[in-house]
Amino acid sequence: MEEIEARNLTKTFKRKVRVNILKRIERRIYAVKKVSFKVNKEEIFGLLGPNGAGKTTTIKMICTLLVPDEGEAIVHGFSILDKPEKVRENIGVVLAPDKGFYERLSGIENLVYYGRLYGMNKKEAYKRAIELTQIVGLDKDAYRYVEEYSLGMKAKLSIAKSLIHDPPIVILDEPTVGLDPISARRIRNLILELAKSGKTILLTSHNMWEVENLCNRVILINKGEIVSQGTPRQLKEKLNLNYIVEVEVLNSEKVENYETFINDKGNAVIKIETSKPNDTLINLLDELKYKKYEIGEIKVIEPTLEEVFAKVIGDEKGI
Amino acid sequence: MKKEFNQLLAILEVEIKNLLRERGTVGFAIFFPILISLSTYGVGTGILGKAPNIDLWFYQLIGFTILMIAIIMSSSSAWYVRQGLLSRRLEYLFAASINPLIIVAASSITSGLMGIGIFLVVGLIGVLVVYGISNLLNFFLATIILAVSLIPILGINLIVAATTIIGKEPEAISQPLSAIVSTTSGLAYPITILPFILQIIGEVMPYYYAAEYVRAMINGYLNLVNLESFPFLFIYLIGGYFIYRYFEYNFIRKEGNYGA
Amino acid sequence: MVLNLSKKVFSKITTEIERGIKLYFRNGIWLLSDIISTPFWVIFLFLTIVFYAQYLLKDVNALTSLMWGIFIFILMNSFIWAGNSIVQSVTNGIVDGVILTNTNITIHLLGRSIMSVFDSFISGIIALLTASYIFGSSLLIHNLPLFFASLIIALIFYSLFASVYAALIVSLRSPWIVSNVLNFILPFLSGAIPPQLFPKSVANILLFSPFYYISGQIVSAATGIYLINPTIMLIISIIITVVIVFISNFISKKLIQSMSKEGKASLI
Repeated sequence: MEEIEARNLTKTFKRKVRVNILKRIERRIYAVKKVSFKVNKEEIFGLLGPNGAGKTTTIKMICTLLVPDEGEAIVHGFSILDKPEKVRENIGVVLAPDKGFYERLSGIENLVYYGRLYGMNKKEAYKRAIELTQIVGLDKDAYRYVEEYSLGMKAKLSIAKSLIHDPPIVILDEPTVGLDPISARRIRNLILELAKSGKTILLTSHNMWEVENLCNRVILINKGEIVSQGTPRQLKEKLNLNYIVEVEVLNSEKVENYETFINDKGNAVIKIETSKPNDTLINLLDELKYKKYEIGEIKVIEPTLEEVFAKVIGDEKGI
Repeated sequence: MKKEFNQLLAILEVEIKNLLRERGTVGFAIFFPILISLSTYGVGTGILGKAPNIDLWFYQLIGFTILMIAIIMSSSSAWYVRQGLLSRRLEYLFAASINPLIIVAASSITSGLMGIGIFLVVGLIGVLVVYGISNLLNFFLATIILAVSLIPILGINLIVAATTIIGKEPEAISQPLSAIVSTTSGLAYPITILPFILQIIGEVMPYYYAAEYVRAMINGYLNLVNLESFPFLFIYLIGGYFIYRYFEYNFIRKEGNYGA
Repeated sequence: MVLNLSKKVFSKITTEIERGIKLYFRNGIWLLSDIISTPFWVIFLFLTIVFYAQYLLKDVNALTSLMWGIFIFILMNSFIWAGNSIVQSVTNGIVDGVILTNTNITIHLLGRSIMSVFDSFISGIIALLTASYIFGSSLLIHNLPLFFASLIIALIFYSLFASVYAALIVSLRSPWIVSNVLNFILPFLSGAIPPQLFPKSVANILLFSPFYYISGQIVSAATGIYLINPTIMLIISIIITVVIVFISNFISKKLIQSMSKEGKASLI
């Protein structure tokens, strides 16, 4: 069952551009063109794309912060056009981790503030805020002013803010951007825990490795349009990208007919790039057995989502 | 020195381009002294039952123009630092091979240039209305006098910029300065009607001299005797420089206070 | 259901007010700024206004009226700057966060307005004391109940005015310039310059300004000098305040519409 269904979402912006000292002309910027996708319950769904692709615009339409020019979306059973207030009750949003807080209020005070605006009473909001600061790892700094927080701490606080009213859907726009590796890992683990606890997650990211390891399904957006969608594996298969097959041959420094390199154990390793790793591996192992070679470690390395991304976007740009 | 001068010119060019794109802002700044002086002239007419001497209107017109310049210059410096802190742009500037003082100075100079531009438009209107074309040469000389008088005010701007580094709230810093300057500098009324202590405050600030010299020049009675206190005001420029450098080193570089 | 809704709205209002009070008292530098600058502004305004008629410096009644005029000038100034800081809420992403909680923006702006109430109160007291000490104005209030009623009406009116003003200037690059100009224009339209100093024909122009009924009423209640019947003035001020409730709501909705349609906050 879908928690989010986007149907032909389209958004154009009109911007006045100065041509010369006297003249300004209106330009239309097609930010999102007929984007459709579905996010299943308890799924982590990723939007990938280069800068300016339309990811944030898409997210903002789903969050009801932007009204689409065409199309619509159904979020937790409510239309973003007809029942935006119901949509907002069921989503938690992180748009920019370092914005949206009163700098001269503490982390807890900011959370309580938003909790109360979501309709909780002060006691409930405070209890929930304490709980969330512990979950996100801000319990020691909860009472410090936000102006003293680092970017990582603000990112955690943003996630806590998005969860204050315990929504079933959490929408995260680049949640780990600018964070150190440890903070980023913490946020990623948090996202996984949220999904395990039954929340549906929609996130955007530039970090391919992160998307590959977090997301059940991904769509690639470029210039406002979806260029590919599916699981990370499906995306790789669609594009016929090459896997790398590595087979270690024990007690040999070279193997006839194959290019090899010597690993740190002093053994030859055959490395083959192939779009059909299973077939290649079977044939290679048969041949090596026939030639009475001793086989050691076998590795099959999948293409990364980064390669997928580069291929798709590169093809679009004619690279 | 050549490198610093080129850097200053480069930033000035960008700041001026930025400023010229804010036509609304410039328009208001020109409109404001005319509006307020006409308003008070109207009030005076209403109270007296007849139009007061037009020289009095001109007196206030010049005063309000200089007040506008003072507000723009101090607010601009304060906001420049504040925006730099908020956007973290100041971090990049401080890490660059450019003296941050040049950047702050460029911002102040730009607002000073804007001030001179405002004076040229507003003052010209006033001079033509009150004196016709007879005092035009004096008026243009007065503009040069004003430009020189603004140099010590650049020093005050550096102090405002320095205080914003600590205080962080730009308006909270520039408002008291605007209040003190407006009240004590003989802009809207002669300094002589103030209590003695306030007169002293006015006479140690460059704004009073800017207004007096400009009025004297336009009316043709500026002489060297009037100018004898003026060179001492360049202490503001020197003091402002050292105060700014102190704050920059101790509160930004030492404490890492780059962000908001 | 209506009761539930009212409870929700009331809770949000108290949340915003609490937030506003906390933030006001944590911005010590603003308090200090007000304490330093207010006495100077009082002297400046007094002397600028009497520049053409310096004999008024010996007229206690005129000076007293002027003192109350400056009091309302400070009140208006505080709310105009509230409008400016609302603009910052938009650029800081706080308004986005508030919209997502299904909170009416006008309620959110109340929080900022409460800071202006405190600001006006503190600066107002300083202004009255400065004027009394330096110029000899009288601090006696002619009609205390009407004075407080008109003060409350003015606080409500200007809170909503601040939100309307903020919505109109939010897209400007330098809204502070508009604020500075408005700071000077509004007092003239509000009866801050004592209307009794003018011939009746000139003073009556104020009757066309809605701001006069809001702010001028405070001065009239304090000094006992009225341009029109005080009851009529009170009724008109209430009507004007009700009108601005609707205007504020309308403008806030328009602003949110603009943000959701165009992706940026702009009514101009």
